[in-house]
Amino acid sequence: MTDNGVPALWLVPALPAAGALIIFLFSKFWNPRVAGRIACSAVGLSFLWVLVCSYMLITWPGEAPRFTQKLWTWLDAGTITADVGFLFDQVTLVFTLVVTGVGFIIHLYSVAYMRGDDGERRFFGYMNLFVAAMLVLVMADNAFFMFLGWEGVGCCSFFLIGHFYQKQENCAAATKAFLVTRLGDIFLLLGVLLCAKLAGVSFLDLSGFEKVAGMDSVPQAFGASGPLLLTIAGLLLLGGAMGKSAQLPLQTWLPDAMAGPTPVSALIHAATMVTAGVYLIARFHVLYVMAPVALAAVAMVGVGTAFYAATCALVQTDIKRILAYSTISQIGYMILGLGVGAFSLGLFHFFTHAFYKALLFLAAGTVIHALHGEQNIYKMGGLKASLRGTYLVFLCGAAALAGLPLTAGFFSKDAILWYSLSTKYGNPALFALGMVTALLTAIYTFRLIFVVFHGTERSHHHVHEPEPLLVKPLAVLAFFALFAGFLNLPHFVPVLSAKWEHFLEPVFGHYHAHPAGYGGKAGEALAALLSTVVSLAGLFIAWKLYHPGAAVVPVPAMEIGESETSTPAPYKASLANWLYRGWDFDRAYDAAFVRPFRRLSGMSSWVDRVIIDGVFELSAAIVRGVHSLLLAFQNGRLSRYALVMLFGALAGTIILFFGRGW
Amino acid sequence: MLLIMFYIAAIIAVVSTGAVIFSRNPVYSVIYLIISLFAVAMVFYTLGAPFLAMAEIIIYAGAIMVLFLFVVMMLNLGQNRKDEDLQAASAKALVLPLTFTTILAMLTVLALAGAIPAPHAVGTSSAALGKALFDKHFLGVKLAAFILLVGSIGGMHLGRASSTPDTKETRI
Amino acid sequence: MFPANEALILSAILFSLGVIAFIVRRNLLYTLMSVEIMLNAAGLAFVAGSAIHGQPDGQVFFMFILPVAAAEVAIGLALALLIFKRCKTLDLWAIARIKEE
Repeated sequence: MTDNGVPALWLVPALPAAGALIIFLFSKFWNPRVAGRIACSAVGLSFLWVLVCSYMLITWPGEAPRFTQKLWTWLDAGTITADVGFLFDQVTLVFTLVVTGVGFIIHLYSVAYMRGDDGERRFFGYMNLFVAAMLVLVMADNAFFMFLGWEGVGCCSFFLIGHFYQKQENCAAATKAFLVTRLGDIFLLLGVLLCAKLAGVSFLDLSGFEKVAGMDSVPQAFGASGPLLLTIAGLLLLGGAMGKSAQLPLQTWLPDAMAGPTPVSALIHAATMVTAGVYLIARFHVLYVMAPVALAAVAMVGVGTAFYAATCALVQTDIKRILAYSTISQIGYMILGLGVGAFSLGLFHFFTHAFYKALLFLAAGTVIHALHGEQNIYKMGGLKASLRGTYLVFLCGAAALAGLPLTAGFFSKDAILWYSLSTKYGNPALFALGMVTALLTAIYTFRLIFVVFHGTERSHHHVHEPEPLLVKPLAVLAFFALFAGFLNLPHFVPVLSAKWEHFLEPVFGHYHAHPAGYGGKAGEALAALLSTVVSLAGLFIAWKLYHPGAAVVPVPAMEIGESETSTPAPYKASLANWLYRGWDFDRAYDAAFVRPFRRLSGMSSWVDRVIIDGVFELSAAIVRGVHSLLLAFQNGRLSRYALVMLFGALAGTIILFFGRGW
Repeated sequence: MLLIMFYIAAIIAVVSTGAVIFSRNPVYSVIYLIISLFAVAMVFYTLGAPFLAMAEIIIYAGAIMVLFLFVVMMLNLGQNRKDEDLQAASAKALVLPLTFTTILAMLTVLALAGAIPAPHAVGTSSAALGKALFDKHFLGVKLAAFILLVGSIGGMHLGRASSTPDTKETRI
Repeated sequence: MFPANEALILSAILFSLGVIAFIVRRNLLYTLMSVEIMLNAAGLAFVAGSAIHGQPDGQVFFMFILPVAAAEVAIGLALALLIFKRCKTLDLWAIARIKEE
């Protein structure tokens, strides 16, 4: 505790960081199991400390409480100063609770999942480091310090995707993830620097953006007009969010990132890191409200991504890729929520999604584990009986993902959809596309359930019983997946309505958009009804198409042992194949960037070889010629050198004499 | 009297130096060089530099040349092996260096002939030398000390390496 | 009256002899000795200059030549010993041939 009663915030990221340090430095002297225990206890302690901080924040007296803690000044470069400092407000509270809480459960799960792996210590070291970096990201009190955490999580993500580095594809996936997110990071850095120019980097006071918005000409930025600059800054930050949160058009890395161990996918590529973009936009909400164009772009990117990823998820055959696309889609919803000004609801969807998506990934991990690494859903089937517990928790997660009524996903998604229609930033097109996506979501979710757990067993492996640690922690997540929605019931419900929004009001305040028109509470009730119908319709369609007896959709033709990447077209229908390949984004990038770049590098290689090297070789040849001339004198005989020197001295003396007029 | 002493010393110096060059036995060469240095010390004396004459004898003849003698003995170069190092056997090899050096020496003498003022009558006392050395040129004394230090360290290092001729260090 | 001019001529002669020795002798020891001769001749010229000008500075410079010569001999002879150990000869031409091989 510090003097004024603010808890020691730095302890939250410091604990997992210390865990990582201990694991990296000392764990090689110990049994690999110890690393897991250290990692779990570090994250667990951090979680407990977050609970303490949260309790203190909630019970703190006074209006709009928040904790800040400045450790030391990090950068002091003229007009820009950045501290190593922490901010703990309601947004941070949500994020830190999820990062440490869900993180703790995933760590527990990993202890069982990674048992016997060669890189167990490395795995836990990076997991702890990741948690520390993520906590720095969400707790930093300024954009520069946040950027440190932002890069830290990207780095850990790279290491963990490439965990099984013996396989070439995994390394390629890690590199791809790193480079694509890196591209986004460049936008983010530019955006942060622009923001630093405009209104400083501190998150403690964002009113600077409001001042800039009112200026016709901003002196510190070439006299450009304020709204224009804010729009540019908003779009640049959105670019950063696109990279990290796998939004269109930088989404291609996330499906490939599933090459990492499943707990990594659950923690980094579903629950926490990929939502950093959501955090970023929520943190800069003032800027976005002041720049409506950028906000509209956010909404469009969000809903577009949600729709795109849902269509792709419909046809994937790899269980983890389905979940990856669904993650992209769900983050699209969050971004949509932010884009219509409903910042708290974007965070609420993040909150619920973290539980049910982590749950789905971990349950999928259990299935994969039980089937000795099989990931193709068409080779699973009928696991309902043999993996009873897993089936139940998976069903909870799937219900939440599909948005079945009264689950967490239902409330959070429905609220976003309603706001996308009714706020001043919303419009019916966003709402409609969101609804279609909800239908697709329900279809692909239950396709997964039916194909994996129902029907006949197609696996050639013996299904072994998962150990308790692979199932028990999931129950906690399942509980939240089912009931977390009650934290924010719709407005038309008399009790507990909009609790979450009120909770976050100290942060977002009057920047938060509110529904207007479309019938108010009655309209909201109608929208909820519509989304209930839609999700049940999705369930029905999935049953029709994929129930055990149905043979409407042909099973994709994949040979045993074929990987996702080596089979670009498993279906007969070309549309399905196109969706399967993620709308051919990879091919388009290959054609648009990779191949031209190769050609360019080929050309520059020619220039380098022929012209630049030519110049050097020419000069080398000249030197060599002169050298061979001089070589005649260099015969290694000292007396010859002395003679030449003597001759030189003689010549010098004579020149001196005649120079003096003798 | 001084002049006669100078001429005698100068002749001895030139002759013994010539003997250094053309002697076949390295031991003789070293002895001749010592004689030459003694003669030069005599010349110093006639030039009014008695302290340097002593220094010449003690340091040059006494220390440096003894070191040479030492090495010659150690390498057992006493009896000359069949003309390998006296290239002078062929008169042809002497032609160019002799010509060049003669011209050079003549030119130098010629250059100095008109430009030199008459010498002073008073010599430099040791006291004056010491004062100049440790007052005006003190930095030079320190540099000389450094050179000696470097020389002794280098000699020690090379000597140490030479005791194990087959290690890498010796293959510079 | 010091014979300073004659001493300068003597130093020129000695220096020339040193140069000739340096050129005509192929033995490394002789090379080192001829360097000594040349250094000594240069020192003689300094002392003569000192006598001509009646200043002690020339003699001071001879005092500087002394340590230089000593250090040069110390290192030169140590190197000569090393070379002799490796090449079994001090003949510079032979050493040059060994290096080429």
